[in-house]
Order: sequence, then structure tokens, then C-alpha cells
Amino acid sequence: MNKHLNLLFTAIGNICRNKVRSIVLILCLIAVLFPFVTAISISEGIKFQSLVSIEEGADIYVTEDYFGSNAPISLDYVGRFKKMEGVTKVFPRIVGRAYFTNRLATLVGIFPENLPESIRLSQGTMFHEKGDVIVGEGLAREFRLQPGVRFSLSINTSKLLRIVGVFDSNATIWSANLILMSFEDAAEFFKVKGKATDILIYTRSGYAPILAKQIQENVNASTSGSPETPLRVQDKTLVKRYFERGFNYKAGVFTALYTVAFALAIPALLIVSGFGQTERRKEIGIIKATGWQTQEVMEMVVLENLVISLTSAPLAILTSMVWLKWFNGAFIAQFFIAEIGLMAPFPVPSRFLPLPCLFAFIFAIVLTMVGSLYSTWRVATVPPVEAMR
Amino acid sequence: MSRKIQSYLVFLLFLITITVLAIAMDLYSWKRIQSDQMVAFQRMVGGVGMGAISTPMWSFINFDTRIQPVDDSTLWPIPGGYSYGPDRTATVSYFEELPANQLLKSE
Repeated sequence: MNKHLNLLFTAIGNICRNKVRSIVLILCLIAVLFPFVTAISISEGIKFQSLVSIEEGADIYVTEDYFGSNAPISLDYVGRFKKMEGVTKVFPRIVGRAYFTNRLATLVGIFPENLPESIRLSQGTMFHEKGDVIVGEGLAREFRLQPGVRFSLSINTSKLLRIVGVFDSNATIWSANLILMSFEDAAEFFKVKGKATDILIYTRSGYAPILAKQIQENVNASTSGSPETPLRVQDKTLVKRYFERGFNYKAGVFTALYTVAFALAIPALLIVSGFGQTERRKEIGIIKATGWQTQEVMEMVVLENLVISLTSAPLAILTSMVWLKWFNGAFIAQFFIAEIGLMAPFPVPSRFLPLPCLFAFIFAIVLTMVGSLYSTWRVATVPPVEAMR
Repeated sequence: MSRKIQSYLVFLLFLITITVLAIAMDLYSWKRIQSDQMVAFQRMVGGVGMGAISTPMWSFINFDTRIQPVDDSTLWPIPGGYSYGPDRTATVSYFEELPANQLLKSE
């Protein structure tokens, strides 16, 4: 045990003695690990918010199917869905998009009955009158909007809207550029009467898959004699499959490959450039001449790499944490969340889970080992005189 | 053991402890958020937003697959070509249309 401890102290001594080499190596590792840790933590943050969106959303979403794409659905279906067994609540909504000057905004129209009392706004109140809207904090901050401001958009200049509230910035990233209004106002704004983007169905526990199948099969069958447009039905299970594929499979594989490819380039570069090799050869030659065994030399290098990795990985994690939490991911968040600009208009969601942090440490270990073990073994197995030459 | 080695060991232990504590605190803070504004907002709008983009730039699929699970941006500007949609390049999430088997065989 004493022998291993002594080797550890020697390894730390080596790190302290070769300051420049150690600092360069630690900085390189931080540069490699930082984007990896940042990407994974932002992905986990958005994944968490996304899961809340799925869990708190409806059990079934129904739209019409025009030529294979989703299309607005007639409000006539609302009554038919309400009558189905197992259905607890049905409401239509409108989700659209429009430009607010040069900023793209998501417009959502819902029935005022859905407004919960628990929702907290950063300014103003919920809408009560026709033409009242609530805007996201991103829009409010960018265009200095506040309750009382009236505006219209070029898509329908005759529709005058009045801001009565501003969403709290903590209410997910998707609320930042959102304009919420009543269903009636949204229908008037988009000039589409009697239709909704989708109809949301809430069911009793366990009923959703059966009802989804029933809607798909029975409601599609024409009852009035005239042909009806086919319906597209999405239940929670399907939406969860999208979620799992969208985050775990695609993002995970992409981020891992990207990071490994990027990471391996740096030690490869260090090896090719021979950075610190002459000095290291001499060191190994000297300790071999004083009676060290090859195994001991290798153990010392492994311990040195372990200490370097134990220093770099936590530093990379802490740097990423400080950058994301204190500086709200300034400049770097835009690489992971599309189209948010240099400074995100909402708190960039980031969640640091233990497993990715452990991966960061393992990456650091692998990188340092790849860069040093083989070259050390080659030097340690030649006669000391040759190594010192 | 020299003073330098001692100092480095203390620094290393401090660094690891701080990192573990920071991760634990972050995990705890996310548990508290669950019952906060996100839930109220999502209940109100019936679930809006899934991907790593705050507004639907070219198509809704990357913003929320429930609103439009079909990536119609592949139909333009070059029909049948690669989508150049800015929301498609997001590195932390990427949604693709799930294939649905619509084949019905009649006996």
C-alpha cells in the first residue's frame, strides 16, 4: 500500500514540477469536456421541460389529415368526442405562428375556462376581455412591451390586440416568444372560423389507447353520407415515442460521436507534435537508471493521468455550470437551442446529472491514457542510456 | 510528502467535493421546479413545445411534433432534397416523423 501511495505522491509531484505541461493538458481537457457537459446538461434540461409538456398535456390530440399532413379540424367533432365513454374533458385550441416585427412568435388560442388561477405572471393579469393577450417575456423584453400596449400584426391588421400580461420567464422555453389569447380572438386573427388546429381529449386512466383506436376507426366512418376528411389521432404513447427518439436516440448518438471525434483530435495532435516528449524520455530514463521497474513507471503515469483527469473533469463541470447558471449560457447556448441569439431571452434550462458527469471523467481518463500509455511503455522498455540520450 | 503535494491533494479534494455538492444541489433544485410554473403553463395550453427551439422556424416538427409530426420543410426549397431549416440543426434534440403502417389488406 505504501508503495502505491508513494507512487501517487510522486505522480502529483511530477504534475506540480511540470507546471506548463500540466496546465496545458488540463486546459485542453477542459476545452474538450466543456462542450460535451454543456450539450448534455442543456439536453437534459430541455428533456425535463419537454416531459412536463407531455405529462401535463392532453391524452389524445386529434387533427384532420389533408394529403398526409395535419390540417385544421372542424369544431363539430368536439360534441361527438364529449359523448364517448371514458372522456373527461375535450377542448379545441389554435396554435399558429406569425411575425412580431422581425421576431417569429407562436400564437396560441384557448378557451378562457382553461386559465388556471395558479399561473403566475411577471406583469399584469390574465385576459378577461376580447382582444386581450398575454405575451412571453422574450418578446416583452426585446420590444419593451408591457400591459396596456396595443398592437396589430400584418397578417390581420384589422385585429387590434391589447397586452394585459407578461408570462414569467420560468414557464418553459416555449413561452418566451408566445402570444396567448382567447380561442375566439385567435380564430378571428387567423380568419379561420369553426375550426381548430387540434382537439385535445383528456380521458380517464387507461382509456386513452382504446379511445384513440375508436376515434381513428369509427369517427372516420362517415355518418352523414357525405365523405369526411380522415382524422389523425396522436395519443400520449405516440408522443412519448417521439420524445424518446428525439432526445435519447438522435441527440445522444450525435453528441457522443461529435464529442469523441473532437476529443480524440487533441491528444492525437499532442502526440504528433511530440509536446513534452523529450523531457519525459529523460525523466523516465533517469528513474529507470535509479532502479525503477517498468511496471512502476507505468503505474506512476497511470496515477498522473488519474489525478489530471480528476482535476480536469470537475473543473469542466464547474465551468459549464457557472456559464449556464450565472451567465445564462451566453454565446454558447445558441449552438444547442436553435435561433435564440447570443443572449437567450429565457433561463437556459440545464440539468447536471451524475451519469454524464461520470462520463466526462471517463472521457478525460481515456484521452490522457491514449495520449501517454503507449509512448511511456516504449520509452520504459528501452535501456536507460538510450532513453536519456 | 512535500508541501506542494499536500496543497495539491487538498485542492483536489476541495474541487471534487464542490463539484459533487453542486451536482446534488442542481438535482434538488430541479425536483422543486416540477410543481412550479411549468406545470401550470403546460396544463393551461394543453402541452406546447417539445424540442430545443423556442419558436417554429421552418416547420412545427422540431418545435412540437403534436402540432405537425410531418417535416414538410423537406419539400422545399429543393423538393425532395435536404432540409435547410435552421431548427433542424439543433444538436440536443431532433424529431423525425414516425413511420405509421397504413397498409390494410383485404382478404
